[in-house]
Amino acid sequence: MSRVTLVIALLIGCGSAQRPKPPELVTFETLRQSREAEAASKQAPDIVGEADVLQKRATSAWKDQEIEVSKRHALLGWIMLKTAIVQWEEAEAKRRIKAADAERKKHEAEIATLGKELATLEEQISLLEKLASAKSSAEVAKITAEQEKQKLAAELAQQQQRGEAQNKVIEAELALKTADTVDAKTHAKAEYQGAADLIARAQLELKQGNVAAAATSATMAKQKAEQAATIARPKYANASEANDRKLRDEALGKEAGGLAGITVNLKKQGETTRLILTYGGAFKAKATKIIPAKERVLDGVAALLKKYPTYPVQIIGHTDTRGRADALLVISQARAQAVFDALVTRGVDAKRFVVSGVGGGQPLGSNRTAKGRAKNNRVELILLYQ
Amino acid sequence: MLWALVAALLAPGVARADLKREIQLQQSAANDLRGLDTHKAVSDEITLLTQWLDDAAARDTKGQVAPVRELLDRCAAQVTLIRAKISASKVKAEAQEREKRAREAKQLLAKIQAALKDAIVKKKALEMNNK
Repeated sequence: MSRVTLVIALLIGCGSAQRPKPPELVTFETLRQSREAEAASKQAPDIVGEADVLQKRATSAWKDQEIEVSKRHALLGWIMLKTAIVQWEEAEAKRRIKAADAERKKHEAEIATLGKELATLEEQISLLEKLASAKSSAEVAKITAEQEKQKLAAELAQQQQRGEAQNKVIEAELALKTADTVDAKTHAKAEYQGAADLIARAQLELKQGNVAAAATSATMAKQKAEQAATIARPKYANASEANDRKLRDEALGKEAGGLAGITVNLKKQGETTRLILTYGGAFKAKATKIIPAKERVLDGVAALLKKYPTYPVQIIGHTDTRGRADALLVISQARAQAVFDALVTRGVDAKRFVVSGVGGGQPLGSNRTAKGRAKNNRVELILLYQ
Repeated sequence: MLWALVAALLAPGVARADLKREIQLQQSAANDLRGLDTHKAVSDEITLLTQWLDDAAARDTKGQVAPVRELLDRCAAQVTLIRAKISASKVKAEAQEREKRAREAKQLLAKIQAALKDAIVKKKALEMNNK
């Protein structure tokens, strides 16, 4: 009996065991417990309330083993709850739209404000950049002007140096010309040539733009030229004087040759040259007085001697050889004295004369003929070339 | 009394005709919803709806009024859900678009703020240089 009861009890027990929840109900319950469902219950309490009723029915049906009924209620409830959640999501999306719009508007307002501020700043920066650029340009212009000024100053200085060098070259050339006046080319050949070479060098250096070197060369050239002039001057003076004397001697001889009644003879004896003016035919035999007709000859002689006042004059009286020698000597001296007196009377300086007589000792012609004796009776005026 | 009797006799036929019409209406609505679902956000739900409506039609043919009624109630709820999803989908898309614009505005603002900061530094530097 007890065994039968046990089997029946087991069968009843097995028959009354709870079947598992249908998946629709499980899914519904899971969804109902979600955060979205909780939020949806506040958004759409009516729909969620209906869904909750359906969940209870589904659970109740499951407990009553009415699985199909439970499934149907769970499915419908899930759909309603899902609808409520979707509506909540839409509301959330709308809230997001509002928030996004508000945020965007806020940003846009800030963008507008900051944009204006940025534009203002950019304008100021632009102005500052222009100012900086202008300042920079001005500085560049200032530097350029300063450089130009320095360049011009350098050019000016160079021109001045060049001018100074040119002046020095000119001074050197003048010094060389001065040296030319004393014929330094001849009398100080080395110095003169050195000066000329240095001038040529200075001119070349000047042409090449080497101003400092040109100035130095010109200075040296001037010194050389001056040195040449110093050396040449006394030599030139001597040479010039000699030349003058020579010219004067020649002129004297030439003019003397033109005197009427005077025979001119040039006689060289060693270094000494004598111009001998022979005054013949002016005295009768043994006489010491000048024949009046021959007096006029002495006018020309006196004029010549006065024209050439530097020449000392030796007056020597001569006779022929007829007579005693001592007497002839006296006569010759008297004749020389007579000529001396005549010339002094005509204004010739007496201090220039040396008067003497040599008698008949220095005949020019034969004393045997009258013509020869006439030649020998004479007075000679001897002018010494200096 | 007679009318009540007639009505009682006719009621099952009337109810079936209504169910058929409602099935057709909902099928038509399902088609409309498919057209509205441009983002293909509820294609699964529409497929399920169509299946249920087909099931309802099949059951209606068999004269199973109560299951059909229950299926149509479920389909009505499904249609509501689908409409809600389509609407929410559009609003969500709009929300994303608005949020995108807001982000873009924020990014632009950040750029302007950075440019402003740079400009202030630049201005100060220029002012120093110009002194």
